[in-house]
Amino acid sequence: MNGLIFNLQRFSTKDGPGIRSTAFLKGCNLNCLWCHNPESINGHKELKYIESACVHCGACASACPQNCLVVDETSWHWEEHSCIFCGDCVQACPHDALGLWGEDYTPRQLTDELLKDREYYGDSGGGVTFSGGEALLQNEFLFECLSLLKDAGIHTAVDTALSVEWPLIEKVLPVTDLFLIDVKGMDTEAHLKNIGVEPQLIRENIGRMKTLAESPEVHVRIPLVKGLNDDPALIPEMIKLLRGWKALKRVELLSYHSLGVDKSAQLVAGGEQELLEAPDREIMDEFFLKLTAAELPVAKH
Amino acid sequence: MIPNYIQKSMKAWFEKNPRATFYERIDLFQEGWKLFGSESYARRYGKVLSHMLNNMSVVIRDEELLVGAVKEIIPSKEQRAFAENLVEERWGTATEEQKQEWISFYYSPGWIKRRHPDFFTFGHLAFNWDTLIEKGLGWYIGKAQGILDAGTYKEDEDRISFLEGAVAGYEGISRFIARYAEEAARLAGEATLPEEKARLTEIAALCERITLGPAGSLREALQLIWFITLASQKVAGCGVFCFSRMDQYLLPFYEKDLADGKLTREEALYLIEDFYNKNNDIMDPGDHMSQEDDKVINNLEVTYDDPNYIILGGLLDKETSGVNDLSFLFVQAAHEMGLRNPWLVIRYHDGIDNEFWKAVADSMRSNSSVTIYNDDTMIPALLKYEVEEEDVYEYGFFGCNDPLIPCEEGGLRQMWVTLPWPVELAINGGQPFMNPQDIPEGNFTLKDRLIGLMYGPFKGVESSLTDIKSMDDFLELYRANLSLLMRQYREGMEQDYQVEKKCSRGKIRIEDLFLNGTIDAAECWITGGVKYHKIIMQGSGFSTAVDSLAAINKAVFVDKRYTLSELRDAMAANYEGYEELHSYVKSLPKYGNDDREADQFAAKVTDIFCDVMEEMNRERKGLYTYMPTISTDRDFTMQGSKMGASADGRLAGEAVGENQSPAAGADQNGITALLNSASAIPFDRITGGPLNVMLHPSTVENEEGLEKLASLFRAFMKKGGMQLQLNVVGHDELIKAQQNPDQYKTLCVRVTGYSAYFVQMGKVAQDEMIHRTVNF
Ligand code: SF4
Ligand code: SF4
Repeated sequence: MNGLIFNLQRFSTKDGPGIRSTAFLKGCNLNCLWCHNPESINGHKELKYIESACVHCGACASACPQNCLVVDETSWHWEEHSCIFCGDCVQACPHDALGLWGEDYTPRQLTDELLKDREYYGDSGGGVTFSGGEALLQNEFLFECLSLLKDAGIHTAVDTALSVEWPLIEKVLPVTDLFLIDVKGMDTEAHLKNIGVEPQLIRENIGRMKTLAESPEVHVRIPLVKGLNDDPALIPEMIKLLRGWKALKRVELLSYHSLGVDKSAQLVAGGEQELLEAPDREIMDEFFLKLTAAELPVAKH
Repeated sequence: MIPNYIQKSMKAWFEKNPRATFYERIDLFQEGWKLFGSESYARRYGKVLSHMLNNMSVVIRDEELLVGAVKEIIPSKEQRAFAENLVEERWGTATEEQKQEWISFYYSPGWIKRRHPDFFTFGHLAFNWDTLIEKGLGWYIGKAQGILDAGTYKEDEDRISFLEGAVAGYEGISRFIARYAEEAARLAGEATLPEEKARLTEIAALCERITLGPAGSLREALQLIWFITLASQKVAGCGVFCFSRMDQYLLPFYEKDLADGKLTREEALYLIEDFYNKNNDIMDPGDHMSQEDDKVINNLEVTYDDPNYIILGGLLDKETSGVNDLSFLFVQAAHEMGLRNPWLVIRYHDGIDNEFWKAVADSMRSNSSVTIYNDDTMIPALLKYEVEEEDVYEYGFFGCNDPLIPCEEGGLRQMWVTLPWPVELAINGGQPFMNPQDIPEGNFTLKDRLIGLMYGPFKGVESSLTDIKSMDDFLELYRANLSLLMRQYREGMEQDYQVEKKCSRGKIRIEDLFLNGTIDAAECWITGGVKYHKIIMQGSGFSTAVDSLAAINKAVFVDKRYTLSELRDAMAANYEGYEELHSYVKSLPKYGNDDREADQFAAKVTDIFCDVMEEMNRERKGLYTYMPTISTDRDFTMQGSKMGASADGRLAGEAVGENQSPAAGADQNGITALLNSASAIPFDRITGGPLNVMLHPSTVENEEGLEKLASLFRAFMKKGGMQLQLNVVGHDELIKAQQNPDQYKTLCVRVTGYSAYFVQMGKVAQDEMIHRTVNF
């Protein structure tokens, strides 16, 4: 079975302990307004087109075996339905204006690639993180990869929003050392608006994880965006959700950044992302202080 | 905290008028020359040096712990003209042959402009600092005078002259220190503030002691080293020192001071910071590698902007680590001060103290002038190039990442070998693509040899592509061409050194006073007064050679998409009319991405380069041992300008690869991939050269980031890496990157869960990131 990967990030220093590599699995069941990786949402390959770099030379169109590109002096058009994502146009473009998002890997291929940095993981207490997209959706593939890495003695982490059916989580528990869980909001209505789903399933899954007799270590990451999910009034509920969780070893507050905006504009098939703002410094501080006061292990932001 | 007076002095240096000149040097040289011009070379050298030291101003600044500085003025137009003329008179009318007799090595117009042909040195070496502080100047005088008195070299005028010149030089330096003692005593007499009086009295007493005697404390040791440095660099022009292992030879002084209760750890740090500041303070402003910089052109000084090197840590023998408390203090001082000079080389070895390693990583993270080298590759490598076991643990480096055995050898013997050049010759039947009409008949021209920058064009081995059936055949032809070139270089260099040796008999330079062996043999290091004689061959354009061979392998022998002659024709045409082929070769695997298809050639190029070097050493033609580094300094642009298009897709005239870096923008998989590619180089055959690495501050911020950085470095060293230097780029660089994206293609930034190449990010995200670097 193949997995679809849209990026491999080496010397990843923000996705768990030590020096890590992060594999980003393509495909997501959420649609967060602030998504950093809009190219990760679709579970299939996509073509990236950087309009500002294109000189309309037509080299891509001549290279395309499917004739799905039409280029003239002012426009560049792509027929998605006939595209087979062969990448010939990307190679032909002399101006780096094209790229393919998504590459197929077998579990063995991917883990071989990831194991190239094992000396760095070993020395630093690091390992491999699977992120997304929603990493848990490519469940079989993820499980295979995690198992191979565990066999090789590598520390494994899964970055997830937990908005999936419980069996998908349960499946990878035995081969995962660390869960990085994104808690994206508390308010039901806002959750639906910001993320595209209600938070019910996520809460249930957190509830189940809390009761596990043997749980991987858990880190919770809380992305905050001005006006969307940074209302301090929601802090008590957040505390209620996270409190009394033995496996929870770290809570991280992440201030919004705009990386996703330009990337979504580069996606031919993707929608445009609206520019959002980071929360005020005082709000970040308030979250920090209140969560810390509730004896949650909050890291300095 | 850096003492206030040092902070002020550092600030003043940045604001200094670039025309400020130690003009006394020029006047006093002229005077000395008039007085002693008719004497033999070595006597004259010693006496002129002594005359300058005895008559230049003594400068004692407020509050400083260590003393020794020069008086500067802004020269008038007339003074400038006089100074330039003084040197120009001699050089300007000299024939090439005369120049060769005076100096047989590297010079640039700017360099020559400041130096008199009968009073110069190239520097780039290490004195016997340990002997100096343990024995004192009186011991040196006694030794040289003793040999004279014993009549060992009775009939040998050259040697007698050499020793008399040495004695005159030692005495001049000793007298120079005595004058500081006298001036400090005089100022102490005038001082009204009690602390000031005490400070000056202390300076007077300690200068008095080291006028002839050994150092008795850390402060005296640093003071003595500083006086010798000032005299050597500012007066005699002996730049680019290696101070060798300061944490070792200063340790007994430091420990004794602590035990006697004469010094605290903090005071030791201040002394080191004072010493650093003094090194920085005598440096030229500007950049001597850019001759278009008018600060460089208009400068009349004999010092360089190259830093002095300090070697720290490392092994003392097979198993004992040299890391001690002083090692920490030296790193801390560099971290706090962030100066360009001195430059610290930290020697890693397996099992190095973790706290020390973290302190080193921390200083590198804040862009201090600190670099790491690996004992576990350097020591085996040096042993392959005839360094003896008893000396090898002392190894260090000077200015351009060139290795040395301190005080057992002279300075600056290097030449550049453009590694991709033989690929061009091999694919084109032994002919260069560009300017074949410029090929000199027979050997290199004198000028080519003198500047040590032999990048052709010239001919290789005559060959035909039809004989090449496999990649191995091609590599053999590459080897034959590289071997031919290196042997031609050697021939040229050895010819020059024969002349130099002949002309150097009876001559002396300031370094001959402080090297091991020269006084006993009563001859300068050039003619054989020291133990080791070596020439560094700097393999340049490394990634271009590797990527070109990888491209040929893949295109012709693996994919079989093009023939060698198609490739050759495309290269000859600079890829014009071959756009498809050009796109294809550009997309092939490149060194720097942890891709075996490319990296295997990193090993092959290195092995071939070193095989030839070792063969040459076995044949041994002259005095010199050849040692390989992978290093371009900053000459990769010039080297590229002489080369045609290469098989990796590089166009004619474009720069070749810099040092050990991947081709500009080629590394796309992050720093561990880059380091893994570099680890493919068999560094236990290579004796130096830099690998420049860039990181964004956000990847290594806070304590966790520091742990990760220290781990990254250590894992690289464990994997057989040799050297690493780091740029952590922040706000200013990001703005520059935004304006010149082409030069910052590989700048990778991480934003919480993701990372991107900065220049590929859109303007909004770039602006925001730039904004963040202001806020946090
Ligand atoms: S090849 Fe590249 S530059 Fe040319 S039209 Fe296609 S996308 Fe634009
Ligand atoms: S990926 Fe292949 S099929 Fe799709 S547009 Fe490009 S060349 Fe055509």
